[in-house]
Amino acid sequence: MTQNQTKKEKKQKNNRKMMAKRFNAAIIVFLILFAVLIGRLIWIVVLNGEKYSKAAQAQSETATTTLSAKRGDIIDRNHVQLVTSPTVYTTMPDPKVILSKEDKFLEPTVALINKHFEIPTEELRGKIADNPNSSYIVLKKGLTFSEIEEFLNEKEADRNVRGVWMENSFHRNYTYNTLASSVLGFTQDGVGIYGIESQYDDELTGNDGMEYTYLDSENNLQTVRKDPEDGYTVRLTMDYNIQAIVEKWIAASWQETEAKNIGCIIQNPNTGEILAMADSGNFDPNNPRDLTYCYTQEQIDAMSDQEVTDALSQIWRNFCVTQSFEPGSTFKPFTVAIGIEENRIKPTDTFDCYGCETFFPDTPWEKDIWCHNRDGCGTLDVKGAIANSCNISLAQISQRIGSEFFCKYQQKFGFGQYTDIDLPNEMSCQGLLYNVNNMTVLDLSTNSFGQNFNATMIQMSTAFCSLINGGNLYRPYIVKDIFNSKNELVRSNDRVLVSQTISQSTSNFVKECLRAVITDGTGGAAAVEGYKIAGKTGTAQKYDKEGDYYVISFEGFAPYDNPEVVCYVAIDEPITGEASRFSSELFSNIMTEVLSYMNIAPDDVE
Amino acid sequence: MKRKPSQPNMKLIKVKKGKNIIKGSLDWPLVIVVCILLVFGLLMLYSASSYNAQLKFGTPAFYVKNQLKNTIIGLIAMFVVAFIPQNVVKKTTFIIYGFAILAMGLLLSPLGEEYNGATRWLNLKVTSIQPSEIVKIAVILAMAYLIGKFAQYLYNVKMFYFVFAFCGVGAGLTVLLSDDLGTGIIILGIGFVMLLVSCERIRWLLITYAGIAVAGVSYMLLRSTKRVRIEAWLHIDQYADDKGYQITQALYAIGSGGFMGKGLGKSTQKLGFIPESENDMIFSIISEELGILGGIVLIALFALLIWRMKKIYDNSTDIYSRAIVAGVASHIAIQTFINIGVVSNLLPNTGVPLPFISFGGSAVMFLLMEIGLVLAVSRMREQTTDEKRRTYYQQDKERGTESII
Repeated sequence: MTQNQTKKEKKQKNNRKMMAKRFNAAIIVFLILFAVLIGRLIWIVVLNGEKYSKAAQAQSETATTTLSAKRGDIIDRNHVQLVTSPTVYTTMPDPKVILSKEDKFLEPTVALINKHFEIPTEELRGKIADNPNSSYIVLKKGLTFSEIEEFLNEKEADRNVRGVWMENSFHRNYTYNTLASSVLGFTQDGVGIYGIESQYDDELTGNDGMEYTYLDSENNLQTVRKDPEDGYTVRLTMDYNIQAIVEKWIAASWQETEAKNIGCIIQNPNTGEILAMADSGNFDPNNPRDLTYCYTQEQIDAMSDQEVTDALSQIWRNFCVTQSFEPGSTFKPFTVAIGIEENRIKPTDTFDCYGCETFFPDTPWEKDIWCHNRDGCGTLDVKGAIANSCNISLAQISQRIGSEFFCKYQQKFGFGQYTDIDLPNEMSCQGLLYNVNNMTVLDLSTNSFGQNFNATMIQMSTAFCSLINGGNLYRPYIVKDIFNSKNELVRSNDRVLVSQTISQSTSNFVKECLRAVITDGTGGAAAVEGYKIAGKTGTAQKYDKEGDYYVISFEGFAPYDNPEVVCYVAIDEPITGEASRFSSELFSNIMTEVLSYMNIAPDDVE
Repeated sequence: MKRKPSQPNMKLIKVKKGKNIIKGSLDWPLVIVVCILLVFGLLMLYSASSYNAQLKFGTPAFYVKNQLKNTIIGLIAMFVVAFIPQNVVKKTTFIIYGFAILAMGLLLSPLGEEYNGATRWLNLKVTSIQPSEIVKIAVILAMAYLIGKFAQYLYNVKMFYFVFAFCGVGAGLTVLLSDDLGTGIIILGIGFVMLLVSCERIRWLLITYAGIAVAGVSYMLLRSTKRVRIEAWLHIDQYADDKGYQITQALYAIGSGGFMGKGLGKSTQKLGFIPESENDMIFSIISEELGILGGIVLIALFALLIWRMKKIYDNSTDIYSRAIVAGVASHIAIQTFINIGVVSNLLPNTGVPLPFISFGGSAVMFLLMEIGLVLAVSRMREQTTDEKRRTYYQQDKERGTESII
């Protein structure tokens, strides 16, 4: 029994020794295998390290294919395409494929490329022979689909034409060249600069995709592809036809007045939508550095580099939003509206004008302000003061209002503040306005007829809309909605009420005054046949410049009862001086066509 | 010379008469080596995968976050397994094995997920697992159980094949159902080492494996789809653009990394050239960024891991425990060798992940459970003579008698 047990124990002990020995052997084999691996790694680096390094470097220079996203279109409110990104193609022969069966493929391929793309066969053969291991050589860029279509068809038909790839990319195309150039802006290397292109750059730019092909461990061809996301389409509130009308008449007026700049805004007073916005500083966004739209060739040749840069930045800017001037008499209706609204004047009140009024008499800072009619306008009621554009009466009204209310309402109408229009580089003019603390009686008086403070065209136009629509100040906007590439609505802008400026009754009275400007006042030239036009002329002298420089303007609306269109034109520094006729005529010309285009029924039919 | 007792607080438990098994603490060196490998792995995984993750999922940390989650679950599972009594594991062995076979079978059902032309994943809605990873641990458990029970009868052919069948079936199913030759070879390798250390006579073992090797090689050579792989392996330069593309790119990575590497995060090969660089090919990125010096350190860590397991093996008390350790150690060693062998074109291309490093949730979880099994073994060992002497001395003192041994 005991003997048996010891035998068994002995056997077990032997067995355990055997197990330990065997496992030892296994471990040693494993460690040897690990050593072999290390040897193999050293072998690779020592023998082939340099070769593999070079190969790795060479291929990393040809990165994975980027699939470029299409930049979004810009369309007008009626879906007229203003800016598109059509696909363009680059022809790229693949020498590796072509030379794989040189005797069969080379001749037909070279002949066909020569036939369609007019590249000398000798040059092409040389290029292919020089790069036998290359997978592509860039041959011709910027081809449209119609240009390559025939080539592709013939290539399809001939089986010996091999190894010609077409790489596609996108080209930014502004369909109507200079139309709305200041609003649209342009792109440089795919990035929007100025205008809508800059303001909505994030929405217009899509996300680039990527693609690479490889063989997996099972030797299947795998392609990893991240599709590009195309940019969004931006739909403007602008109407192509209205914009075209406006630009046509601006160009005509520019010829006539030889002004420094002419701006025009057409706005819907009930929403704040911009229907058209233009200035005379045009350029072609397809070729933004071309100055010939604004200057003659002689002028351009005479310019220094700095002058060219300045001129370019001048024409790229949007005059209506980024530049300010003293608005002049077009501001007078605002002063009247404040007086009426705050009950400081009554429509029946009368004012005496003797042509001149002296402020701070017998002091060193004594100053006269003059009415444009230096003989005096006589006794006028409020309506008459507006119709005759009498500065002295307005100064008297403003003194009844007082600087506190005047400044308060100025702010309320949005002067000195950003209108928040969705266009870049807007100017607020805040520093160019007086406030209650630093406004003297003289400043108040000059402010009352639109001198001595600055405003941008968009500020004037937006405030004017509220003046005639019953006092609703809407935020101006130019982008109506944004669609993605599947034509689904992403975002849409709606009218935003910023503040209530005046009451409906005040608004009605101001409208009466503005109508009187056309019927018995200074704005007769702005009349449009068949419509009860109402508006205000403006002539502002530029005090910041030596000599007689003026900004003449006209701001008006139609139809009279339910205003649908507000049009504001401003002519900066016309050589014709202070004659406001030119701006009134420009207004009239534009409105005649716009009203008939918009199918607005004539309201002045006898 | 007296040896210092290595375990100061030991509880004496009597298992069987004449045998003193003590319950020690875990083998901490093993745990530390595993943790170093895991941290190193996560770091390199982030470096290797961020580009692909950015491309496919839009966030560079996608893979590493996923892996971190699974690593933490795996570590918890490892400690849980380490404290489960061995007899509980033994009782559930065949349930686990049955479950593994069932999981393999489910690959044929709609739950099986095809990826890159092979069905290797089970999509369980919440997570997807790789059944072949369960098969590996199930084969180790089943064979260890049978070896522990029938070690002395393994000279018998029938008994030998009965035990071998568990490994053969596992390997066969892996190759047939998931077309995963690499894992099949690993399972056969595990079986070989486990049987080698436990059979006294290894004639049948050698004959069987020689047969399998001949059959396997001739199959590879006859099937044209498989033969191409051998051809690509032998003539890598000629197949650089298609069948050998992946390996060529891996060689470029190793070669351009040189001895010292380009620096952490500076690999260019991971930028789309080595597809799925977070997976089987991760060693090439490690070599490119940290040089083969980094690669050698990593291999040394694996060697250390196996060496530590040998210590546990030597200290363990019974055949079952030893078989477990032999199985786990050989699993890690073989898989590491095949992975790095493939990446360096020492072996033909069969995709297996690098243990603890490659991306793969189920792989890292089940591997850590295997480490848990080894840790459980490390907790049980026979007393050394010194320790015996000390306990007897203690007992005598308590009794008030003094005896000199």
